[in-house]
Amino acid sequence: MLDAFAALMDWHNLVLLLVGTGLGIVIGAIPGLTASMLIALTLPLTFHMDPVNAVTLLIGEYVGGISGGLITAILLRMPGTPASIVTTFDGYPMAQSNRAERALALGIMASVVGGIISWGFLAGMSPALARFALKFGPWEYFTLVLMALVMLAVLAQGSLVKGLLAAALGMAFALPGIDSSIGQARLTFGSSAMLSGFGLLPVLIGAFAISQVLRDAAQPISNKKIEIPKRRLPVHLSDARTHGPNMVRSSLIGTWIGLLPGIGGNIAALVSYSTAKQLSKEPDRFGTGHEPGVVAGESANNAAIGGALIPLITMGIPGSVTEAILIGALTIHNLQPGPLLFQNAPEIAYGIIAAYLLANLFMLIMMWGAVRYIAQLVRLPRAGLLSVILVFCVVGSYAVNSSFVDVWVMIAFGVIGLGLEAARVPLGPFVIGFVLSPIAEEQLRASLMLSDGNALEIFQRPYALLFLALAVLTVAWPAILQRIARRRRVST
Amino acid sequence: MKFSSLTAGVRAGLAILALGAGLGAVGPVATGAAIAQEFPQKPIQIIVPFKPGGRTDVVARLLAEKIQQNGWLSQPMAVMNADGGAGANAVNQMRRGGDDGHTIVHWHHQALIAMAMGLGDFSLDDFKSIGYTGGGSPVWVVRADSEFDTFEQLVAHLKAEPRSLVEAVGIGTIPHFVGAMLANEAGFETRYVTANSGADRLRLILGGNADIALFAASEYLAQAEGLKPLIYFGRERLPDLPDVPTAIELGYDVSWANPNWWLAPADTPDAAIEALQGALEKAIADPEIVEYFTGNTLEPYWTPGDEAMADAQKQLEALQAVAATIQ
Amino acid sequence: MHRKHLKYWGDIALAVLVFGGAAVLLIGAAELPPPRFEPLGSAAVPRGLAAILIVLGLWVAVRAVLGMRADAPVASPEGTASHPLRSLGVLAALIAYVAALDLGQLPFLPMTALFLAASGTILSGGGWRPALVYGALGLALAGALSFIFSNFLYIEIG
Repeated sequence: MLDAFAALMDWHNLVLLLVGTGLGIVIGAIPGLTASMLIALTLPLTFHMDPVNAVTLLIGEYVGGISGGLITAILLRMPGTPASIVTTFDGYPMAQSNRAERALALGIMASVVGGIISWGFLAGMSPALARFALKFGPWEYFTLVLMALVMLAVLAQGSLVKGLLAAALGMAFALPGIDSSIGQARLTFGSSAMLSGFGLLPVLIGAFAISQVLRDAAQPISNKKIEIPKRRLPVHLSDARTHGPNMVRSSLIGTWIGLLPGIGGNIAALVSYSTAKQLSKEPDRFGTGHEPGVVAGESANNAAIGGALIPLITMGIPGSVTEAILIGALTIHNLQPGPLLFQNAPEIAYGIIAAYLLANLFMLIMMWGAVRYIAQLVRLPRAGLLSVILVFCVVGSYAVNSSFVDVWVMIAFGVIGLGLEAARVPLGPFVIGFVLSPIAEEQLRASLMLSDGNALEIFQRPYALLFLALAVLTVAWPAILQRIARRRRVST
Repeated sequence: MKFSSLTAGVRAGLAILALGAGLGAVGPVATGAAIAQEFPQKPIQIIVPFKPGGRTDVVARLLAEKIQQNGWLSQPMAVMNADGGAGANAVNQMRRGGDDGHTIVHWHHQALIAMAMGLGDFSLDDFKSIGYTGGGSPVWVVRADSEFDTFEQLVAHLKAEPRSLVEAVGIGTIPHFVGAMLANEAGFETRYVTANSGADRLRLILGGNADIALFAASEYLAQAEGLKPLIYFGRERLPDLPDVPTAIELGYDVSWANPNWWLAPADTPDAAIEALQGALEKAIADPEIVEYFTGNTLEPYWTPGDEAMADAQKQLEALQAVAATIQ
Repeated sequence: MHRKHLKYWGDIALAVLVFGGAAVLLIGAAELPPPRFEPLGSAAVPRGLAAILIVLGLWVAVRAVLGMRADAPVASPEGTASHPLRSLGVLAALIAYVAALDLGQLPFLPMTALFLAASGTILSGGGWRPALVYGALGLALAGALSFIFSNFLYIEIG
């Protein structure tokens, strides 16, 4: 391990890591462009690199890209990745009430803490954790995602029925395409373009970025000069006390959910956000620019990267598209990730671990140094900013699959998003419902295949039961709190 | 006052756009006329119907780069990923690109499965086959602590207790079809659990949630002790797996050699196809490419277009027979 | 229609759209094959979702009707949108831009410059000066993007 760090200290690696992290932050921050896109596009450049160099560059891009997403999520309410959707809930209201720097600074701190905590697990107990995560089968996946879906309902701000409606509509839009459980077309109505279904990125960019641009376009241009804070960054030592427990808890949730291949940072952020909300003494303030909301989401989504790297390097199991590309980068150099990687190419296995930590530190330094300037982004001439964002959205959603269908889908979801917001149907549950329901359905049907149609088999699965219980508890929690409060009042 | 300036703004903006559309429409007419001299005239676009990072993508990129490096074609080749819709997206991109040979597809026999399943609106008639540049065969594995050491034991168990073992497959994907061909031939039946990627199959089998799964030989080799291979689907044994019998050896007429298949639109001129074939044939013989192939348990070989098409036709019929049993 | 009823009419429109969506799901589900590998099959989730959508849509609609009866005063949801025409203009420009790239297969560089000029002009309220400034910005942006994409990443846009 120390050797790996020593090897990374080679200036070549450091420069690549720095470049990768920096590029990742910039790309992650641009609405419409994402980390996985960046990694996919730079993959060919790594062909001629030494494998350690290739991996450091890609890890830097990965960490930078997920972290950069918080910038636009907070400043413009345009999450760069699904993992940052939760950050918009409280980050954007904070920025609106002139606390943009504070929100950014907290988000960065939370990201780094999440990264470092999950790095501890990655470096310290990878094999044991990976073996544990592998025990999770379809029943566990299904109940976990179900729990996340139930939490969505609790998260819904404002009207409960509109929140539920948003989630159900999102789930409905995820249906067309090839039914992954039987490999046949569903709800495509004979169109071959519909076989791919609605892509995640076009839907995300459309519902958040495009609809936000269109909404902003209708706002009057304010001539009021916003005061640029000149003081030091608004983070204090006391924040460690107020936000520390939340950061640690969210990072643990993030690492742990990240461990499960295919689940990913968005569920991690969602679960830790709603946990923070439920455990909070002031749950009503979540969604109105409450600091713990930003902290919970950002710790968890960064921690999920470290978690996801665990099955990747110990078993060769990628948790996301981004990681599948990392594996591709290794196979080009005739390296197969798997248990043998630590024996055959320890410099790679430990190199990934070391690079992950360093990338987090680089991310901290770069974003910290830049945060005050980044926050000025919102003060740029709006006509230019919004127009440029639109171009990036078009290019970004085209580049994923080189398909204009995706661009049209993006525009359509921009209009849908605008309509939903006008009808006070929240966008967060809409997009998260869209992301989660295909996993839930596939895993439920896989469970039933596994048990030969016997749904009662769930009772032989302790972890699945645990998630089910947590889901029920999530629904019942507000009522329980009320009862406790009433009892207290009676007794005093 | 305010209102009028606003509408003026919108009107001015739209006027600019209309002007642009008018100007632009004049543009591309010139380029369409002058084709059919030397091939290639412009960079060649290789459409890969998958996300980046997989085998098909990597092979396409490696060969494209080798060809460019050595100047075997006068223009560079660029890989474009068009994932989605079981290849439907890629085929749409190919049609959009035109049939002058500058837009080609690098795929594998998943294309045939999509046709057998009736997905998408394409068939073999839509393509002209450029050729195969090597390929690889998978292995069927069980967990290392499984009670079965040979394929015969597994079949005997499944015949005694049908559907007692779980096979991790994505319904309608290669592992499903290969497994089903073997099951039809050997006369057994397994239970399925959905696993649409290699990662899912690995996760389920290593975690004990499935008993059998199909992997590329290189994927198995990287796992070392966790898995036990029972049967190999190549025509001959793989040098990296000298002790694993092939299905043919065991008396089952099942083989699956998933090739790297280069395709062009059906009406592509033969001159262009020949130029591409020449370049690809040289590339697959290059020592660096051969090293990548053998390092990833793939076989480097060249099968020219017609031969490849005839093979694909035969394979498609076999797949259609399997598809009929599952739909 | 009273202005303060706008929200309720909006909700009723939403409910109608939701019923439409549920109908599409049900029609699509009717064509799906019966369950084959497990008891749920392809059609179960679309049907279930359609049922949920209908229930939620009814809930929204009933609440809106009751609210209107009660004549509860409600703030207009679109209180701050003072330039709705600009949104429409930008949307039209965006659609024209993508149509030019997709259907027209026109070159990326000039189209992006024109789009930026159009959208910038609309957003800043008109005038030829912003058109020129944003056009130039668009040219630079498109140049940089297509340079990066075609030289380093071998992707042709458009």
